[in-house]
Amino acid sequence: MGLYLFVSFPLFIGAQEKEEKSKPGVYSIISAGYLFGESDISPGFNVITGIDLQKIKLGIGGGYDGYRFNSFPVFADIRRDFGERKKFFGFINGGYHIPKGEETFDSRSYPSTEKWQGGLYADAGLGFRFKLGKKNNLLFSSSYNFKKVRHIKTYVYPCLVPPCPGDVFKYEYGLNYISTRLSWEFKY
Amino acid sequence: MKKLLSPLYLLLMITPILFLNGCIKDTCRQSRSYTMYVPVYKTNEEVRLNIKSNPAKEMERPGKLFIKGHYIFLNEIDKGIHVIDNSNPASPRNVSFIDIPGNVDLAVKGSILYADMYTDMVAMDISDPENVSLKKVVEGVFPFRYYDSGFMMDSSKVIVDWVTRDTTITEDCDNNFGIWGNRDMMLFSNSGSSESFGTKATSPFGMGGSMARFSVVQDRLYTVSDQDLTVFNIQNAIDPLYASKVNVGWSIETIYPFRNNLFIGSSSGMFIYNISNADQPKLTGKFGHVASCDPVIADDQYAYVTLRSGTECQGFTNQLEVLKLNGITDPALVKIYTLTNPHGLSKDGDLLFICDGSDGLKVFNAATPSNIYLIKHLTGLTTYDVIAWNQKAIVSASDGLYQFDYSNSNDIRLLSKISYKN
Repeated sequence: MGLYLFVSFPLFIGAQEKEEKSKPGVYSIISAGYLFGESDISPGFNVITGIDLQKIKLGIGGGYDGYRFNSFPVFADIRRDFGERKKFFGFINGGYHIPKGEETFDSRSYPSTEKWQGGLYADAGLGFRFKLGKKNNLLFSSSYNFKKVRHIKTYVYPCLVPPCPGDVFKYEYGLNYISTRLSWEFKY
Repeated sequence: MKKLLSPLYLLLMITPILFLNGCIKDTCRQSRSYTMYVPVYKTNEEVRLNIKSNPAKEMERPGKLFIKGHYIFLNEIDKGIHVIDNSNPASPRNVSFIDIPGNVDLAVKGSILYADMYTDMVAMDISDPENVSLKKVVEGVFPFRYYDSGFMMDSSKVIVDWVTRDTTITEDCDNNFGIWGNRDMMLFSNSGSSESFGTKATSPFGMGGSMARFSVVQDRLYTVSDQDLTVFNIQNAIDPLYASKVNVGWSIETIYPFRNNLFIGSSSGMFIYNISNADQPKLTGKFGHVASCDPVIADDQYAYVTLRSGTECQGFTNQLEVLKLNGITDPALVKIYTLTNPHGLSKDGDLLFICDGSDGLKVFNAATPSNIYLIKHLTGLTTYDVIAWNQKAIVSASDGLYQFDYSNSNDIRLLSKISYKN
C-alpha cells in the first residue's frame, strides 16, 4: 500500500504546475493491459467515465481483473493531467472488487466447494498521453495495484449418514501487482 | 518544477514501477476450522459389563434396524442399539438402550441378538427385550476396521465416545504442512499406542476398512466385510462359532438372503451365492454394473437393485435395475428406472418401497416388473432405509424414524414419527 501513495504523489504535486486550460466536459477511458506480480501474469481491462473539472477529473469505473483470482472491480477514479500540453497524468482508483462467485467440485472421494469473497481494490499510477485529435487521446500508463481476496474451500468427508463432517479452509490474500495499460480516452 | 515534470522525469518514475514487480510480494494468511476429536476410553471389562438394557437414550445418528415381534432394534452408529416397543405403531416407545461401542450392524435368531462391537461379535439374550443380557463375545472376527487419518489408539482399551471441540488455526499460507503435520496429534491428543490398525474403534471421519453386514439364514449367520463373506455356525444360538470365510471381491456393501441364496451387493455389481452347503457358499451368478452403491432385494423371479451416486459411493448413476433371475445363474436386466438418489428398498407383495434420499419415500406398484409405476410419493423427508412388513413401513430418515400404514395402498398414511436429536 505504501507504493500506492508513492505513485500517486505526482497527482498532488502536479496541481502546482502551470497547465493548459481545457473546457469542462465528460470523459471516458477504455483500457486494456497486463497485470503482473509475484504469482501471476493476467490480462485486465476497465472502462471509466466521469467529468473533467479542468483541474481534476472525477469518474467511476469498472472492469475485469484477472490477477490470481478473476474479479470485477468497481471503483472511483480521480485523475489529474499535468505537464506541458497535458502530456502526462496521474490517477488513483479505489473501490471494491467483486470476485467470481462459487464453484462446486463433485469429486468422487471428497466433494468440495470453493467460494471467493471480494474486498478493497486500489490502483494508482502515472501515464503519457498522445493526442489523436481534438477529442481523442491514446494513453499509456503504468500503475501499482492492490486487491484483497478471501478464498474459502470446504471439503466434505465420506460418511454413512449425512450430514458428513467437513473441513473449512479460509485464505486471506493481499495481492500486490503492477499493471501496464494502453487506453483510448475520448471526450464528449 | 517544470524541470521536475519533464518527460525524462516521468520516464524515470514509470520505469521503476515496472521494475518494482520483483520487489512486491503477495501476502496470504490461512485459517482452518476443524473439529478436534479426543477419544474416551473404557476397559474391556467395563464395556462388557455395560452391554445390557440401560435407560433409553435419544436417537442421534441411527443406522440399521431390525424388527423382532413388536420390538424394533435400531442401531445408533458406533454407540449401541435402541430398543423400541412398537406394540402400538401409532405411539412407539423408546424403552431402553444397549451400549455396544463400535456397533453398526445387527441380526437376530430366535431370542439371540448378534451385533458387532468393533472387531468383536457379541451375542445377547433378548427373550425379554427390555432386559437384555450379554451371553458371549467372539473376539477379533471383524479385523478390517481401522482408522484412517493416521490416528494411533490405545489398543488395550475400547473407545466408547469422542469428545469434540471446534478449533481454528490461523497462520501463513506457506506453513501448510504445519497444520497437516499437527493434525493427527491435535485431533487425537490422547493417543497412547503405536498400533495404527485399531482393534476396537472407528474414526469419527469414517472408516478405512469394512463394515460388517449381517444376515441369519437358518443355523448360520452370514456377515460381509469389504471383501469377505464370513459364516458363523449358530446352531447353538448362544454360542456362535466361526465356520468359514469366502473372498467375494471388493467393495462389498449389502447382503440379502432369499431361499437358498445370498444376494450380495457390491459397488461393482451383484453376486449370487448358493448356500445349499451352508458353510461353503458357492458363487452361482453375478450381474455387473457401473461403480455405485447398490442395496439389493429379491423375490422368486426378480432382483431389485438400486444404484446411487454420492459421497461414499462413487459413480454418477441413480436408478433402479430390475433383473430376471433365470435360474439364479444368469441374471438378466429387465428394465432400468431413473431415480434421484436411491438407498434402501423393501418389497411386500406388489408394493415396492424405495428410499430415494432427499426425494423422500416412493411407493411403486411392481406387479409387472417391466412396468413398475409410482403410486405414492412421500416428500419432505430424507430417507435411508425401509422395512415393509405386515402393512407397516418403518422408514429410517434423516430426522426421525417414521411408520406408515399401507394397508390401503391408495391411502398410505403416517402413523408415527420418533424424532432424532438435532
